Order: sequence, then C-alpha cells, then structure tokens
Amino acid sequence: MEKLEKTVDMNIQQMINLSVLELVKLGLKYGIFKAVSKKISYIDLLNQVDVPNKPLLKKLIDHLKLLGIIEETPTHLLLNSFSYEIRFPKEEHMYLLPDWIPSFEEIYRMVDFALITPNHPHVLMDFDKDADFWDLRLSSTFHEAYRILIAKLGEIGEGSRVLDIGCGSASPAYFGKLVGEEGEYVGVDYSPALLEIAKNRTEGLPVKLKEMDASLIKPKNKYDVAIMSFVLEYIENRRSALRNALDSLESGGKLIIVDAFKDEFRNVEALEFFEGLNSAFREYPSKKYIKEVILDEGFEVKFGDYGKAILLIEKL
Amino acid sequence: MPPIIDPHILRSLHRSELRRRILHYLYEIYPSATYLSEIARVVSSDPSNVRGALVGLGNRYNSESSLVYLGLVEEIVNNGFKYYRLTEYGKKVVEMLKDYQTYYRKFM
Repeated sequence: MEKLEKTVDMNIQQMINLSVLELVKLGLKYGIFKAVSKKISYIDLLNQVDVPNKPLLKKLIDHLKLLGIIEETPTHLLLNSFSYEIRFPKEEHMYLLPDWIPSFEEIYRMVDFALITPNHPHVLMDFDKDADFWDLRLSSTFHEAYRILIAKLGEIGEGSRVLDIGCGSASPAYFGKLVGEEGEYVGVDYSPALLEIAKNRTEGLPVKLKEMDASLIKPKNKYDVAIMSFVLEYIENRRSALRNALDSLESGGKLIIVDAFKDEFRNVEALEFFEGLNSAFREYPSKKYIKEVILDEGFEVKFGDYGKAILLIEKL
Repeated sequence: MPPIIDPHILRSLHRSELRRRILHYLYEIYPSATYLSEIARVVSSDPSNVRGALVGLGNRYNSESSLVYLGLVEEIVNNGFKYYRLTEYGKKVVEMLKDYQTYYRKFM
C-alpha cells in the first residue's frame, strides 16, 4: 500500500515539475521575460507580446505570477530571480512511471496552438471530441496505480457496491471485474464518448453507466464505496457533489477522493495551466476545503490521509 | 505494461477515415504486404489519396501524419516495386483502436 501511495504522489509531483519547466519555456519563447525585464505594466505586457489569444496569454502571465517568477507591483511587473531544481532521490527511482509522458508532451504542444486561438483544431482536450486522447491518459499505469490503491482502501471485492463519480473510460472495466456477479458498480460521467468506450469494455460485467453531471446525482441506492478520482476540478458546485456522494453511502461506507490537492503539492498551479486547456477545468481542490465542507454539511465522518493525493472519508 | 503510444498517432488517425481504413486492411492481411493500387481498390479510394495517407503528398497530405512517417506501416521496395506492410507497432495500435470503433462512429 505504501509503495502505491508513493507511486501516485511521486508521479503527480513529476508532472508538476515538468509543467513548471514548460511554463518557464513559454515565458522565454514568447518574450514575456524579456518584456518584463523592461519594467512594463501588466497591460503593456499583454499588448506587447505578439500572441493572438490574449485571454490565454493573461492566464499564462497569471500562472507565472502564482509561481512567484513574475511579481506585480502597483505600477509594473518585476522578474524575480528564479531557480528550479528537479530532484530524483535514488530511493524513489522505482516509483517513476513512463507512460504519462507522451500525453503531457502532446498537451505542451497544444498550448502553442491554443495561443493562436482557443478553438484551434490541434487543441484536443475535449472529453467528447477527443475521448480517445483522454482514454489514453486514463489507461496509463499512473491511473492504474491509484485504481489499485482505491480498491485496497475501499476493500472492493466480490459483492461490493461501488459508485464511481466521474468514472471515465477505464475504471468501469477494472472495478466491474472486482465486484463480480454479486456486486454492483455504477459509473457516472458527463461525457457520452468516454462512457461509450467504457461500455465496449464492460459487456457481461455487473456495470451500469450513467451520463450525468456529478453535482446533480441523487442516488436512490446505498453503496459501500463512492469514488471521486480527478473529478472535483471539473465540478462547479463541489459542495453539492460532495454532499450527494456522502448521501449515497451506507453508514460505515467510504468516500475515496484522489486528486492533485492544492494544499499538498507545491507549484500545482503549473499543472492547472495545462489542464485548463479543457474548457471544463476549474482548479484543483484542497483537502482542507473538502474537510470543511463535509463537516459544515453536518456529516459524521472520520478522515484518513494516505500519502498526499488520497483522502479517505469514512461515514460513521 | 500496455504499449506506449504517442498521442500524436491517435490524433493523426482521428483526423482521417482513410488512414484508419488502410490500417484496418493491412491488419487483416498482416503479415503480408500489398501494393498501392490493391489497397486503393479495397478501401474504395483512388491511388493518389492512398499514397498521400501512406507517405504524404505535396500540400494535400501532411507527410508528418502519414502512416509510414508515424511508423505504423513500412514501405518495402522489391524488384523496383513498392509494397506496404503493417509494422509490429502498427499492429498494436490497430488492436488498441478497436476499442474506439463505436466512439468513432458516434462522435466523429
């Protein structure tokens, strides 16, 4: 279990590390740093940098500010001195997974096209139009690692009843096999294309797939485990989604949330910039916010932190 | 571990029904190779379009998205004739694409 936790945490951290470097590369490539070094104002910078998609340029500058590379004073922008070290401790080499890299390389390529226009045909992050790209990501060994971890933490096996909120295309087949004939797996997602791919893989399994917005779920049945993996960042009304997820659980049931939590991963803003090419992306949640909302909603729960990326909420 | 497939390959196939039809035909006859006009006949297209999809053609077909450039198909020259055959990597990609058949039909 500890090995899986480290695998998930370390690979998220490396995704963030590479994204920081890519943001720096964009700052250099589009002359942002050079322009800022002349102590110009925010507005002048937006006008001077020769990029047609100004809203995305603004977002890029804002993310460079969030990372502390650029600072804004009341009159102008400042370029802070910046150094960034990527560390690969030798005792952690075994946790590195290679197959999420090609997807990220593709995303880094997409940004150049997105800076021309947000609707550029090479920007391929839509859950429906580009479901095959998403499926490639969701089928990687990184996503497999946290699915195994969820199964262990939720003690998902023969006969388990599982509700997977934002199930995507790869999880239904994995959990459907685990719960077996006596169990039940309900996968909910708002992308019909991802569900279509999932459907192809789950024939003959006790899997139900529903096309629905996660915040609108009103489950009639009760489940042993509810899963929210990398989904809260796409949900507008998180409070409602969390309340509905907990309402769907039996007493003793577990809600397992996997995410790049803002209060756990340093510089996660870099990752947010790239994931933001999907128009539905909002921002990563923080564990603190989730815990506060759940207690505020009056649920009696026990929280468990498993590494940085997993929050387990047991309904008492 | 599943094969690591560059998403750029999926993107290229995503954008072209013809490239997908050619791949599926070469998969059917794998490991045999065949020549251009035979592929054109089977996929119901003309040889110049098929050549574009296989190796690129002027401005009309981007060579960087062509099946040979992407490493999915290999061009074999024998006695002055050119033949085309699916690579081992191309075979894995087609097997993966089969998961997306319904998706492509409904959402493309």
